[in-house]
Amino acid sequence: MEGLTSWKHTLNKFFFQPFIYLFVFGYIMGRGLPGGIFGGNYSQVVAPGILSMLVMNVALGTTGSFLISGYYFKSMEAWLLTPITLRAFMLSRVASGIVNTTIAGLGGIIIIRLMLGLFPENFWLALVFILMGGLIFSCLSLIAFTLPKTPDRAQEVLSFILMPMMFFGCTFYTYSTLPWPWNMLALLFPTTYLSEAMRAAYNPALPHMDTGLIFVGLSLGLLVIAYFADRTFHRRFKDFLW
Amino acid sequence: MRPAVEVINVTKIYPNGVKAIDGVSFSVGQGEVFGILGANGAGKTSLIKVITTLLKPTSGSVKLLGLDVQKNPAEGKNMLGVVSQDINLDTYLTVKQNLCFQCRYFGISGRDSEKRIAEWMELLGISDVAEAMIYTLSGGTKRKVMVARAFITDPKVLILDEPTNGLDPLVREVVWEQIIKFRQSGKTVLLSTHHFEEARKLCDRMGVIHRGKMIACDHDLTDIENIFKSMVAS
Repeated sequence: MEGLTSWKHTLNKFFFQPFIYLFVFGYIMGRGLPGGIFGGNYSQVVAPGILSMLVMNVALGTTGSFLISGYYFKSMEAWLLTPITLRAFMLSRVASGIVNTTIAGLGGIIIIRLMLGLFPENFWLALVFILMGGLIFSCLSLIAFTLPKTPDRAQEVLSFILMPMMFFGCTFYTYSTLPWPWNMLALLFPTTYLSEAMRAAYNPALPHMDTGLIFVGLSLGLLVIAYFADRTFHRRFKDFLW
Repeated sequence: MRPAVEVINVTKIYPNGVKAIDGVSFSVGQGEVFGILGANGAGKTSLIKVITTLLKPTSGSVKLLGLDVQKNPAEGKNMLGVVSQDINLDTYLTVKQNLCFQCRYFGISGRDSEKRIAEWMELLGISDVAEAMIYTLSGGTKRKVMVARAFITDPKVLILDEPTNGLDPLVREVVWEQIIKFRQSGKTVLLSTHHFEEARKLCDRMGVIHRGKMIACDHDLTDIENIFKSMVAS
């Protein structure tokens, strides 16, 4: 709600950032570069990757900015005084992250269509993966912002996970191009499964990870991340020291 | 009749080792206004935070109308209206939205909440800023919104941590009047303050907290005043 009430913030989060990424990597570089071993051009590879990066950024940002604002404006204290359980409160934040991510994801699909002429061959599969991505990265955001003593120190956690997820997580290349042991490392990052999932939804003819494996990877990731999100969230707010 | 608030041997030690509350016990009967007096840093706010479930006590327990709030925090909070010491409103929402959200959290229906919001805004003189964003308001007006937010859900127990800080004398009188009315309806108030005059005007009973310990409780008024003043002076 807070995020959506500021149109500048909304415009920036949902449209401006993905527009810039897609323009540089998809439109300028993507159309000029060949697609490597799988033919076509690079924009077909990178556009689904940028969409997954958008999902990650919006989910992390939405949930994180809520906690940051609760910290700086002390509104977290008021939210914790409402008669809802901590778990319900946590789930409401995750739900908010998913809603924002879905809007941003759909916006990203429209921008890719307008800029690069690409549209998911299986739209519903893309939507399912956007929802799953929103869920996973919202939970990951809860961990990043509640693991340190105060959320203003979340950057210390995020710097360890964001860059590797963006650059080792197959957003700018396909998983099949990775040699050993980098392909093993990439399996640790949810962005790998999400980027490959988007490639599967956009153009199943392109090389991509098996859809079954993608679902297994995302589901396992979700289980682990949701478990730790629940733990850190409860630990932080059961004894509220902000 | 069971007490509205029971604080049973509560101790709170922060992770940095500071003992903010040291074995505090007291109870507040239904329909009473109980004042917790203490200088700044005495442990009043920590105690209030334990009672409202924000802080987990290191030992001891708190019961609201017989309900252990640590074991049943959501049910416990459902009975409470709280004015915290710090302004903790939703900055990017309007005054009306803040009050509306509070009503929704407490399960008050749309029509009823509209009525209550209008009444409280009128009473505290904030109707003209109903659609203003919180961040545009002065400190005093924000505090009025916080007072309205605590009363609007018609709680069984009202917990007020320095509620009249930053309020002009006229509005302070209005808040005092509401506290007295609230008490007359058989409900309970726990008031933390460092203004003896405020406590004397509103409270049926008082306790003085100093360095985390309740050093006086239910003494006669002159004794309480003397103890409190000597603590403040020290």
